[in-house]
Amino acid sequence: MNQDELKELESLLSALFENEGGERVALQSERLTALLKSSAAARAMYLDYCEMHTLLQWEHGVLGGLEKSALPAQLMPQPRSVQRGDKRALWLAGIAAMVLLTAGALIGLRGPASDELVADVRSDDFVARLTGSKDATWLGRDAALNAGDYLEQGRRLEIQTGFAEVTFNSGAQVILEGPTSLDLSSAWEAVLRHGTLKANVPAEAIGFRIASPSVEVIDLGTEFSMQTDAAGETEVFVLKGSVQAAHTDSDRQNTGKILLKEQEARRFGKSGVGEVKDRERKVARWAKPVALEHAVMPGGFVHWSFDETNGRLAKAELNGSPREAFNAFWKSTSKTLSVEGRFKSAAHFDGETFARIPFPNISNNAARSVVFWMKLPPDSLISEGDTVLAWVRKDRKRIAARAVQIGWNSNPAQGSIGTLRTEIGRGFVTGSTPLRDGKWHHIAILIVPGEKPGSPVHVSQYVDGRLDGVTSTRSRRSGETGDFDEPAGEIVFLGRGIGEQKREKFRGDLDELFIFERALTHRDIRGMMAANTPPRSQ
Amino acid sequence: MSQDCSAEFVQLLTLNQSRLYAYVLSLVGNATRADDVMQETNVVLWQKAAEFTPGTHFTAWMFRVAYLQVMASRQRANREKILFDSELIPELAQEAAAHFDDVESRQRTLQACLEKLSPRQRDIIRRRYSAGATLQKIAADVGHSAEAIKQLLFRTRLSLTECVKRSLATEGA
Repeated sequence: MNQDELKELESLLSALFENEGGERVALQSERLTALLKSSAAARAMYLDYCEMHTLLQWEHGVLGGLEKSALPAQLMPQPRSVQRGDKRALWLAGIAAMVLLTAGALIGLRGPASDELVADVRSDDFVARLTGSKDATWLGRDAALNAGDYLEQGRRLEIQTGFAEVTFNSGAQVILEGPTSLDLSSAWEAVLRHGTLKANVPAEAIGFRIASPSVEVIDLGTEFSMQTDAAGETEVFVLKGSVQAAHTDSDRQNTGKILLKEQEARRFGKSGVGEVKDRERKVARWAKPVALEHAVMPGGFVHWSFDETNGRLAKAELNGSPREAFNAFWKSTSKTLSVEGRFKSAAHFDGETFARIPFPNISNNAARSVVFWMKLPPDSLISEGDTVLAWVRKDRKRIAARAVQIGWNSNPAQGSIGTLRTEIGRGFVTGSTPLRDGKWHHIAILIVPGEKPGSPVHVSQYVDGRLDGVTSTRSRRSGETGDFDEPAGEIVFLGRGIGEQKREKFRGDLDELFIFERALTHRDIRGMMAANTPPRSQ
Repeated sequence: MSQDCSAEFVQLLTLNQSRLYAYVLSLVGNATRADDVMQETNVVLWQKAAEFTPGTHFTAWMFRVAYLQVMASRQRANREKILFDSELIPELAQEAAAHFDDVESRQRTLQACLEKLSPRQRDIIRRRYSAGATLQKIAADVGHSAEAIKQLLFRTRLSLTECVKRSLATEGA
């Protein structure tokens, strides 16, 4: 390839990747083909260019996937449902069925029923939150609903007028338009009894499904609307991406599945499947955004970036400003070990050392979110320390103390080895994503106290933005409660657990640790994963 | 497929999405068409999941399926929208499969290279990729000509590619 050809190739690539073809496409295509055919160097440059374009899309969260999927929340004016970032999920559609199958199968893996009744920790009791609304009036007990409220499994929402946004723990967002009645079956499924909704499903929640009396719609990475009338007949409109729709006839028999693509619509009735009258006008109506008011969720946070370390300590920030009182201290015989992190530097734990953070009131029985990046070496052994972060939590009367320990599961009897695990006292949640792969994973753990004293603590785990905590049970042996052999109150430990069984130290890297005084939403988590900035609390 | 196999399959496919996208993009040369072919390929991969033997070369199998989808999409497409002729495609596909073998390492290295860019370059890349702005929009927002932005984007992509290659070469040395 000579200099002229190189210049020409550069110009062709530039035009190709900035969609500048226009009428010149045919000519460009001919020249590009000729150049690529004649020169291996030109082909290599072209492939490099395709690769860099892909990597940049991936890095900026434009491509979907479970590892990297979110656009920064602050870049996306609300409502999110009309933003271009949604398109990224389109081609992930094929994963939907698998994810659904996996999630479905894992939900069946819960511990024995007798244990569940007395579990200290639950991961399936609340399945969604009310995250936004506009002029909403509600029926019955829903009249007391406030933005930010948790919605429990099995809850029936009855909106009379206006709009409401429900964010499922899986990440799926559904906007209801009154009058509508929706049953919340789980973080992954809902039943539209009657009324109108629009669903927006990010890549992490592909496989989310909504059933009505006449159809079951399984999302394949998309945005769709459903309208169910009093007779149970349902119209389904696909605004972006595609869905799989399974018709249910009057005998409640499934009569086959169809794939509906972008801009397609069908009417599912007792007598069969038909076209939707006036489709274009209806689709245009659904595509119109609704200006919702979103829940204001106050609550402070402490952040350790591990970028600024000084001998034995790593500096902390409280609500974005330096706050020495929360600095993390390594024990006197060791120093902080700094390595390349997910963002700038990270703290390395070598299996020998650990750090303490004085954290006033950490033992409160309050809602908390813990968010961080973690990298585990592929050769992590179950004999090594499995706890990356721990503190002691006390109940409302501050009598019973339970150790909160977050790390990876090293007990084969309690879930897959090497998956995310959160333990509170004798209860625990384990996930399904293998973490011992030498790669950075974004971890978010939400802890919400039960409504009544003594009721289980709710734990939601997210790995790389995806809900990853589906087993919850109570262990008879592991877990620490009661008196501890050291004054563990009001201290967060990094790199080790609490109690006799947790003396082994953690080996791996930790970066960008945040502890919030509230439960984050899925939107918050995706935003933090993409941009490493905490959600704005107003 | 057993639950374990299914979970493993989900993981393999998820981990390989960027590699698959780069492969498809290089063969169709157009982001919109690449999106469509990706979606179709993912559907077919899932439908054929049972045919995949765990432990065998997943990416080779994935690329084979994607190649057939690219060819099918070429047959459907308007002739004017096809970028390359059918003589080039097989050769390019073969080279692409080898070229994208190490996407993960490059992905890992990219973050550090992005940090080495000048603030202006970083800003333009962010506008182009995070915010999804067109050349014209970026040009209007930053007060330069679209041609200047196009050049800047091109140069920035090239220097990122060089940086990534250099870093990996140093790592491997």
